[in-house]
Amino acid sequence: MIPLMKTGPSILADLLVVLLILLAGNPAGAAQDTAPAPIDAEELNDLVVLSRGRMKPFATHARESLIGLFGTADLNDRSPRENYLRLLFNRDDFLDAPWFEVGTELADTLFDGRQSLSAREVVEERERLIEFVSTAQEMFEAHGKGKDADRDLMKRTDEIRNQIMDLFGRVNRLRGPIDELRFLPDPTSRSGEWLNIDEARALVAHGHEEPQPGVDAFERLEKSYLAGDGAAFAESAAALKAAQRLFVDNRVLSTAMVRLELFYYAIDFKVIGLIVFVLSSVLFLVQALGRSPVIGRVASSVMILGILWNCWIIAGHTAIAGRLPLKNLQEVYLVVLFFVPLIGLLLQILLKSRVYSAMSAVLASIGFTGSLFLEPEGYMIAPLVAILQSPWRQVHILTIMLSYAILLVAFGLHVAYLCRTAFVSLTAPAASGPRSESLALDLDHKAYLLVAWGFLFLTIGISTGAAWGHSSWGRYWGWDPKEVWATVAWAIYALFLHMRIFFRAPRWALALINIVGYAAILFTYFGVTYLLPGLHAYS
Amino acid sequence: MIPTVLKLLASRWLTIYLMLVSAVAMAAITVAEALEDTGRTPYRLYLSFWFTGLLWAVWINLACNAIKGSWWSRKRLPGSLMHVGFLLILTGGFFTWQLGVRGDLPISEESSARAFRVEVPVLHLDIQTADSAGAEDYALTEDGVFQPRSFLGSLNPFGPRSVHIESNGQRVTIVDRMVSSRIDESIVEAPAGTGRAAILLGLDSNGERPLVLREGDSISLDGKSLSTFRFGSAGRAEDLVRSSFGQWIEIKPPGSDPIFVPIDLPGDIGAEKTEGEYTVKILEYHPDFKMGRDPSPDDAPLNPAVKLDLSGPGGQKILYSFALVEFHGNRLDDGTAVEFHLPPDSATLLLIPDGSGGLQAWEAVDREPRSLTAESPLEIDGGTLRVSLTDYYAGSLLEKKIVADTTLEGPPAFRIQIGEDGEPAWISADGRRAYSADGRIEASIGATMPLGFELTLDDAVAEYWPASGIPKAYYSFVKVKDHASATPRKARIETNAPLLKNRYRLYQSGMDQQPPYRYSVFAVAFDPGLPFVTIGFLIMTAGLLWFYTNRFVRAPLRKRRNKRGTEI
Repeated sequence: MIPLMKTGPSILADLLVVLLILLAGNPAGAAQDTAPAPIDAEELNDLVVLSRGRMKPFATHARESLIGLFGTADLNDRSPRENYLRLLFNRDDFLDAPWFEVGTELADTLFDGRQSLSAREVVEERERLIEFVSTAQEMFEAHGKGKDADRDLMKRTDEIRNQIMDLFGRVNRLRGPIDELRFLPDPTSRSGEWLNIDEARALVAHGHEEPQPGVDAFERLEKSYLAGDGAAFAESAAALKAAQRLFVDNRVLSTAMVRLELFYYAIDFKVIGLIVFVLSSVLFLVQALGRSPVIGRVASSVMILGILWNCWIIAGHTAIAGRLPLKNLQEVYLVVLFFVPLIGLLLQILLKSRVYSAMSAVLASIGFTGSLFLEPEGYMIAPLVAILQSPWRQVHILTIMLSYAILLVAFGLHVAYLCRTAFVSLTAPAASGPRSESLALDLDHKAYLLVAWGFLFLTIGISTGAAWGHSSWGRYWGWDPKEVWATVAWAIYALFLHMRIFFRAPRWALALINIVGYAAILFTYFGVTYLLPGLHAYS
Repeated sequence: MIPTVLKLLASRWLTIYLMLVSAVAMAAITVAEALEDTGRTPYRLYLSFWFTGLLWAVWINLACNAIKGSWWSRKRLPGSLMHVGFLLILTGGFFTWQLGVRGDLPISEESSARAFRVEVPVLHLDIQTADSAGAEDYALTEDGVFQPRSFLGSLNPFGPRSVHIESNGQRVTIVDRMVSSRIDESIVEAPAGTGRAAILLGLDSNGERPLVLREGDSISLDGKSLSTFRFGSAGRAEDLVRSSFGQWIEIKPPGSDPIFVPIDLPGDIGAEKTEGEYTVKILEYHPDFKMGRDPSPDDAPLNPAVKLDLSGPGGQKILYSFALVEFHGNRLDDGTAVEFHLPPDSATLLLIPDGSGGLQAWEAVDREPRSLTAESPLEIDGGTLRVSLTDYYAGSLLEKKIVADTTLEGPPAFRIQIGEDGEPAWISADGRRAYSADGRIEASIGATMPLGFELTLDDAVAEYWPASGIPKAYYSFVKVKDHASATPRKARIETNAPLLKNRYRLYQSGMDQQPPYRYSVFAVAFDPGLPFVTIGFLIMTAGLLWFYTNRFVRAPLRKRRNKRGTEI
């Protein structure tokens, strides 16, 4: 017989529980106890995924996918992992969110100035956008590049057309995450390919049993996510992680490497770097004002901490990528930031003056602030394209970046020299004693020495770049804008050295030449990359 | 006087000015080239007389500086070495520019090549002597200067403008040049019974300019509902109607009129068609071929393709041809190009002489032609376009004249004289030729140089990093065969690992594996300036290191030692 009612003691026990809850006044607690545990996206963090050419933890993949789609991983108050799971299993949530940023030209021309669009809007406006692209195409075919008067219009039209194509690409990729999530090693592939869920199912249908546990776990994961069952989700996530190591385990990223990468990206290394060097700069400033040796020692110690943090940034990147961070603008920017405080500390030790460390700490703070404004895509670790796989790459980029760092410190010292002389002559020209003059002279002299060494490394860097160009493209010199601007900077520093060594030019003039020289380097580094297209497009 | 000039040339102030001017000039050129963006010859401004003059001035200043005074003294030697190193770099750069040759070689799998395309115009001379025939190729600069074959010759910045042909005993001289040229065409009446028929059409939407069509011509206008006009001979009416509203292969021999071969795909797959000296066999047809990498996006344009076996006077080759965007490698060794045409999307008007001074106007293959005469214009496309026959030549001659192109978008042209008594004539890359008085030398402008060996591409391999489109490696398996070797040698060309053969280095510079064709593009370079540049860099760096050791390491140490000594 099926009992229609609970037995006596059990009813009593239930009543007791209800009574206790009522007395405690916590009905929500009761609901929490009976409702399923919420979904915790972090359960999947250490699932290994193969995407964009390398194995990585799910957490990295989720962040990179969102950056690829929306230009940022911080879309709302949810974590990138949560947002990625929504994108994976509940894509409709994403269609109405205005997360697609478009360029000003496109926004002004076709969207009444609105720069944030939702995927649904883009799909609805598809016809109008395609019409614009085809009209622009016809215009280009009919008029070529146009007369001078038309050229601006043509350029603008071309820009809008490119922005539309980019927008279509990004919206189309909303369909992609499920295809891009390759979480099972392909047992039939010799070249190390991995399978997404559809490919895994197809392989199982063709009689391969290896992916079956992974397919089952993934299906349970999807169901539990849609049902909002956190416990089942956690169990499926664990099963999925176990399934990807069931066969060909040696092809899956080791657990230690997964942990290292999760730790590396757990906090924003740029923000930490910024905090440490700003703190060090402030302490150096306090020390300069109060002349307290204790604070000076603390400032130096904080700066050493910053240098150690820089070592971690470079070493962590090298361990994860299997190569030094010398691939693109963002990576080499980190290398320059690594060298700058190191040079300052070295000068402090050699010359027994904290001025150099303080200067480097300020420059590093400015540098880390700048690093926050560079495109986040550049910080995503990706494998090297064929042309970059040359031993000359390390030699060329390292020497060039070392020269940039040395010349940056020299630039800072000469700016400090100019500020010091201007400050002294404006505030108390009569009171400026030999001590303040000696400090200014010292700044100028050390700036000169640094320019000299920076020039040496710049020369070696340009030479090794020529050697790399010869081995890759068959020409050691191609009048590429980056090459030309590096030579412009080289010529300005050669001018500086000639003026200093042979003409004993006034110090203020030399300081100005140094500043112009570094402006040329900044243009070589940023201006050429963004404004003048050329062979160095990837740097 | 001379010592004063030498002193001035070696002065350090001149060095300072030159550094300053060079830096400003280079910076300005990069900005000017970015703004210009006309697709003209790259590096034009860097090769201009004023910039090369500036580099010469730097060279002279450095040379004078390097040898001034007691340059060998221990104190001055490091500085002299730096200057000598920089001099060698500039010298190497000059040799590379004057003597070097650069180009590219696109080649599809299982095909061979004996020549490569160069960035500069090439003067091609066909020479016949009493007992032999041969050819010589000379790369030219844009200024009409032969890129010389000797180091001594390269030292003359203005020349040479003529070459002596050993086998023939004559001299070929470039007497004038145009930086950019175009062909100005006009039609004149031909003597009775000669020349091709020609018509002048008036279009009410075309302003004052009549449309000139000679027999066999096809002209397309942009922005018109009726955009293609063809004028064909009555003898081939059936073929023309079919090809105008159907499919055809166009063979373009260099310097001759194009040859049209009508086809009917997919029915003609495997069929062999002969037209004049050329035979075409259609091997494959891919109507759904798309641009871009695999997988092509949905909105990528269709570019239907055919695989052909083409043979003619220029040899035999397996080629791919595309209806929408042409592939530049579709040529026989003599430069004969081939194009595959599908019926145009826009309307075509085919005009065929009716034998009585009028024309039959075809608008579709399944519609009766209408009559177009001087008295009865045609209303087309529902009356939106009115076409009238304004003139008719039973026989015409086309007068082609090379004139300067003010838009600077045309190819350069050269006026050359062959032999002492030869008549100077203009030639350009359009196929016009010049001849010596005895007719034994024929000169033309081309864009290819012989490699001196035969290169066959066996396999082009592209590897990508998994789950990405990021290229991991590109390499090509090739066979190299020259006159000396009986059997071809196998080799591999890879990114960053070139093949050195004879004087040329072949670099892997591009690749496409999109079905139905797979091809590699090699950058080809001959660079005689390289040893100078390499040694120059080494000497300059050695000089710098020596200088730095003396000035920034030894001198401070000495100073410190002396100071310590004084303190004691």
